[in-house]
Amino acid sequence: MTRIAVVFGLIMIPIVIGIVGGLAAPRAARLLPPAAATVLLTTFAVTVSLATETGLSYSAYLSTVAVFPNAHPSDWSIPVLRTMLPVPSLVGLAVGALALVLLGRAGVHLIRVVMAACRTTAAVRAFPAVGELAVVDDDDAHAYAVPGRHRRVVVSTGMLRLLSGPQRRALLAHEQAHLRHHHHRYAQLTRLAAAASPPTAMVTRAVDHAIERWADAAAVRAVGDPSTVAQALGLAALARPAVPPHLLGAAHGHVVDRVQDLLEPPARRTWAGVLLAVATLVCWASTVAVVLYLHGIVEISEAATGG
Amino acid sequence: MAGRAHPRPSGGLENEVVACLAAADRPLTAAQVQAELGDDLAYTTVLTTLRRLYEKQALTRVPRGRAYAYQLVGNLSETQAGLTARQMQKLLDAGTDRARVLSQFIGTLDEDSERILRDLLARHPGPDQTSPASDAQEQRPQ
Repeated sequence: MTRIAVVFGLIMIPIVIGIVGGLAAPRAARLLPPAAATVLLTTFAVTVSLATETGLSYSAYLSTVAVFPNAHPSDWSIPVLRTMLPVPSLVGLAVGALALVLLGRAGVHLIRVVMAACRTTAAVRAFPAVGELAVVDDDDAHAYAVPGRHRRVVVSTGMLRLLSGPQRRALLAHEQAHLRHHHHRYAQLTRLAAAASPPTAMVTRAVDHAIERWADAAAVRAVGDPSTVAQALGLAALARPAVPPHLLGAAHGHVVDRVQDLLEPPARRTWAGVLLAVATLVCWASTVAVVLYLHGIVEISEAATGG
Repeated sequence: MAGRAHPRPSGGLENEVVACLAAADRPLTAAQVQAELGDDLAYTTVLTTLRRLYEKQALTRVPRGRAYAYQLVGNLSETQAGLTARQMQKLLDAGTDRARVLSQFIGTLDEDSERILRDLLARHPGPDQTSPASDAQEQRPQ
């Protein structure tokens, strides 16, 4: 019985850390420099989902040995395994099903991302561009960066007319920073992690936010003045019609936070980064521990068959 | 800002010049572009960039006085480009590729955040304007 408690405890560690980390992620992101926040939070989310998936699937595999004897190596002693790890088969099946569902979600997510990437790449290739910059004739203000083989910064004429020379430089530097630092990889990795481990979904938003602040910081370096970047951001945001709060959901306050960070930079706290790194390491440690522990049980059962 | 101590990524200045001409909607001389960019750029640097873009056939030029005025090459297939833009916007709105297309230079605001934002910007006027949020259209530095 104690063995089950140990295994259960070790499996729960990354799950609990994932939930707590997900709740703390938005705060942590603002306490850290944006680049550090992005890298640490992405590593954290990926670690939590890998650790969760590993713990769930390995324990499910071991506790369903009596249900699918043919799916397990023949030199494992089923009776010994059953006495060493007396998990009811139904529980094992449920855990296995959960692991499969999470894996399936990640798979579906991956397929959808690849398909969407093909569509956007095809669309963006059609833009007439000078170098990496594509100007779209459109009175609405919009700007975005599309990574990939044909990477592009797409800006509408409406956006360009809104801004002064230095502000345009800030906008271009912001979008180019997205491309240069491969920000889409962090955004994609955290989304994949969230598909495989729903508690980390909150981390995704924190990383999105950190990525934007990272690009804002790059824009500040390009123009040498935070207020120019803030003005450009503000002008662009104010040019769009205001939206009733209930339609906004996740994006609420996003721009305001970024402008505030630029104009009144918050105090950075190293301990937030240390805490995130420690939480990530604890997840890895618990995963290694659960794998070694379960492997030990398997070895005892192998010894029992006289192998 | 003391001098121009801010290094540009490669192609950065070309992009700025293209953006500047796209916003202008009429041919601009090198001097006008230089003034518009407003980063203590040397006149010759701007001129070289304009010439390079002209040689790449990204710009057309018309004589004006003793110099040339430059303009972006009119998009031959403008309807095509407009179509692509709409298609792209649809992909963005659908949110399917949000992770890849980093479109959040701008975000949407509700009335409250809008007020907070205006307050913030008013408290920190930029170097080249005094009342930023009040009138977005009237923006021609120098």
